[in-house]
Amino acid sequence: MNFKELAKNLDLEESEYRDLVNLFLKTSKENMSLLEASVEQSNAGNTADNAHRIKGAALNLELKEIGALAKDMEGRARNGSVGECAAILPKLKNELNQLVKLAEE
Amino acid sequence: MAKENVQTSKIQSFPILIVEDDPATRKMLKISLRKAGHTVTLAENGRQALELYEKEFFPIVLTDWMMPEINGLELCRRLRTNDFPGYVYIIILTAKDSKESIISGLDAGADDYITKPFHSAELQVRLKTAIRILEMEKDFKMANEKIRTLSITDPLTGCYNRAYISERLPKEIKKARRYQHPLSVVMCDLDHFKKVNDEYGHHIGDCLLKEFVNSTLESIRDDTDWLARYGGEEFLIVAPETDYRGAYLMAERLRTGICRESVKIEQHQILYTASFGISGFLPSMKDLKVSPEMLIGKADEYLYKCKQQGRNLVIAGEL
Repeated sequence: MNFKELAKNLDLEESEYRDLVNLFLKTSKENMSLLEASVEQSNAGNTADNAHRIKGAALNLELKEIGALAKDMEGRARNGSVGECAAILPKLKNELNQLVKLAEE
Repeated sequence: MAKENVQTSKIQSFPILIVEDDPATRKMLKISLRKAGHTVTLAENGRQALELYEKEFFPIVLTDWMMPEINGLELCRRLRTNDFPGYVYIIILTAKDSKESIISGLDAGADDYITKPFHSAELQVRLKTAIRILEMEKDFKMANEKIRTLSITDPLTGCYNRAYISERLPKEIKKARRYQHPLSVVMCDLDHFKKVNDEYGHHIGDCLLKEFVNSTLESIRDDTDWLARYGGEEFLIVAPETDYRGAYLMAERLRTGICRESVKIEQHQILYTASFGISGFLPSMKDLKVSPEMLIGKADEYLYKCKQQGRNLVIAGEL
């Protein structure tokens, strides 16, 4: 993942893009807690909505892996297969952790 | 360069309200739109957007769908039920991309729909469309206002016309009756006007009518009284909050002002006079069913008396 490249794709300066990523990470922290809780409670509606939130913001920033995982979770939750989301959660967490490291560089 | 300036000013005259609960997306939209020259205001959800609308008007709204408190769809519905000074062009920006979602969004009153992730260039062209439509609406409104003005204006003198009397006088009577306030109408007629036309030609006659209108407009109150051309050389002054005695003083001032000195029209020095018949509604007449025809008819009767008594006169009386 190259921030300079991603920023360019979005017609942004790299510094602007980094600011947005940091803002995304800050919000995602809260959204991830909500997502984990809703998966744990097998609440399909909340799982779909929380995943939807992460998906929208991630895809806008061209964070494709995070967006794809959140999209997958949203789709499964909307289809009533909220149980399958538990297996995706660690992958999503991992992607977010990688992004944190990248943002810190 | 000049073309760019025009484009920028066009863009800036249509401020955009961004309604988005996700901070990163909100900021990204703000950066992208400001870079393109747009004036942008931010709201975190539909409730905040509606609160902002109470203070300021935004012709363009770019709203997310899923938001806490009031979501994008509900915001669309509420904006459509409001009476704003202009059209609000609403674009829904959402990650919901199914046909059903698009239909629901447009059905709630949105004008356009952009799916996330949004593409900056796509957003710009969609906004261009919005501005084009809002510009058309603005032109249409201006044209309508122009037509409206033309429909109630006498083309020769620039004062109101007979159509305006028919529209406004019943309202003035209703208001005077409801609040039990006086109301007077003054029927004015330029004496021997036919002679002016015969002697100097119609062009000079027309100029004299304009002179009369200008003198009258200077004599009546700007904010309450109004003047309309009744037909030919006859005019009607409507004076709300004025009883016929007050209207008499006003007409007498106008009459003496007119006959005191001649007016110069092109190479001619013309001395003319006018006659005035006045009738009025008084608060004590609240049970009397007053119509515009009654008021004007009575004023016309007094005007006729002026003519019988030698013209250049003001006669006023009760209904």
